[in-house]
Amino acid sequence: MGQRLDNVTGLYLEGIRDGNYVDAINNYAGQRYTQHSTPVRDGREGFIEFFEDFTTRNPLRDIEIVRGFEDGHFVFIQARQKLNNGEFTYVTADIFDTDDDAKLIEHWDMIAEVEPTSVSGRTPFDGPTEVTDLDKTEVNKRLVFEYVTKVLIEGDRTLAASFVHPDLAQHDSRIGDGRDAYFAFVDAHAVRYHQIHNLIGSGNFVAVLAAADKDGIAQALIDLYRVENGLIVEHWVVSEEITDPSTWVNSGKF
Amino acid sequence: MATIDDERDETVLPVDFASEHGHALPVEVLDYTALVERMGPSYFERAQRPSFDLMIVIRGGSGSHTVDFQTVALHPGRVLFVRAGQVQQWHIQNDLSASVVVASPAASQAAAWLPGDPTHADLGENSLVTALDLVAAIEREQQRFTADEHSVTLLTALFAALVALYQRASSEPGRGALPHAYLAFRAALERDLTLSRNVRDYVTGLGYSERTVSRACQTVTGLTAKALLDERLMLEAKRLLAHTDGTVASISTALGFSEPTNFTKFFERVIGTSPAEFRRGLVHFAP
Repeated sequence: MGQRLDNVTGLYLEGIRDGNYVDAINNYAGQRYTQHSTPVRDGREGFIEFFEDFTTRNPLRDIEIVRGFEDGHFVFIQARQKLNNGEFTYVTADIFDTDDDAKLIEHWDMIAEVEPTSVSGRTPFDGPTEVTDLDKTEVNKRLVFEYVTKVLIEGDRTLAASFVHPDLAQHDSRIGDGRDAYFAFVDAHAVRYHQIHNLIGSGNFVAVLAAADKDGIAQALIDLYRVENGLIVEHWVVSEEITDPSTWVNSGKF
Repeated sequence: MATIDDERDETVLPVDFASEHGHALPVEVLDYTALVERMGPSYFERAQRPSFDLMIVIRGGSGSHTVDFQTVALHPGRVLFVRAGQVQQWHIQNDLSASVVVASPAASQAAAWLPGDPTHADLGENSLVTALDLVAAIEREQQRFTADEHSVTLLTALFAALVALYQRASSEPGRGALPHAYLAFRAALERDLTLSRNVRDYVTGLGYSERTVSRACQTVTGLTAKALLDERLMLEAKRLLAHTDGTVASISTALGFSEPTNFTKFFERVIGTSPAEFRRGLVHFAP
């Protein structure tokens, strides 16, 4: 799709999957590499230090990029990581910022272990992957921005129906399909969004990096929404609990 | 070269870089540390609304800078382009090294900033070298500036090159060439912002229908023409509340509202708080 997405894919596949992490970070990172993956230090050295250890611990790495798009200088990517012949399977969602050489300069990520079953029967990966409606990018981003702001942050539930399709396809393993099931989960777990940290999109896909509370515990999330005919019709999410700042080796999730 | 904006009051300090060359120097480079020394650190504790354009090229260190209520982190290679009329605030950082290029309105042809426009650009290795070369060239030329026509043209062109470099680095692929209907509407907004709150008044004379203009606005920004007009007016309201001592009533009048209650209602509808609450919340913009 573009040099920026190619560079992210290169970092993932050549660097992490194939283990050429030194060459990959040197080829694809810009003048800085600011890291928000809390166990990884800033800079190329931080990346190398982390993946030296990671590739030793996980000698078998089957990594697949499932979805990805560019929005201006930002890149969104969603990947499946099967490690050590299925010992672990992770879903990751990442956002990268790039400079005007398309080199990667900042990275935000969420990682979660894939649950063996899900309420809706969907996986964190299935569903459409193709970016369509490229002429609707800004309109769809605005729709998702207003949805998150008015419904998830300000809590105006009466507006949910004007943003979300009643038959919402749900990829969060804990939640069934449908708009009502989603908001039943929101109520049951006191899910409250606080802030949008980034919102990027391409055509029918919009990704949101946000801070929220669930059951009173602070979370960082990357939500991915698919928009069709002016309504959100599909939702994927990867979230992490925000750990104590003493455990971070950089400036934190956002 | 620079002069203060017209809302002179207690909350803002005169923005004058006291150029020794007088008003004829159209573009000037100042080193960030020299600027801090010249103006004194307390100068930077206040919000400013300069009447000239500033291009800030970060060479090293880190920090942050607030432009129109958005805080941008400062990193090496990052360039901020603060347009005349934007409210900006420096957050002093000792280890920051940066070149600040100021350009008079006559020297800068850049369009006024509108919500949705990029706030900064991250230059790659090659573009940063070019930017620093341009900054060095401006510095050299300002040393030997003789106020002749050719020197003015030369400095103006060097600044235009910096702007082009910034715009190339910050342009958002996917937007493509911006539709003329959108650009024409933007220009009309900047010119007549306080005269009307009716989209039709801005569209009249542009040669496009209201529908075409609104579609173009949506494709580029996601916002209808009316929403874009409201956002722009709201930004102006916030700037005046943050940056001047004017009462809500006088700001309401300045923005073209017939009644202060209409202004308050408009403000509450768009951001959910009253103008007075918004002003109270602006701790870091307080004098």
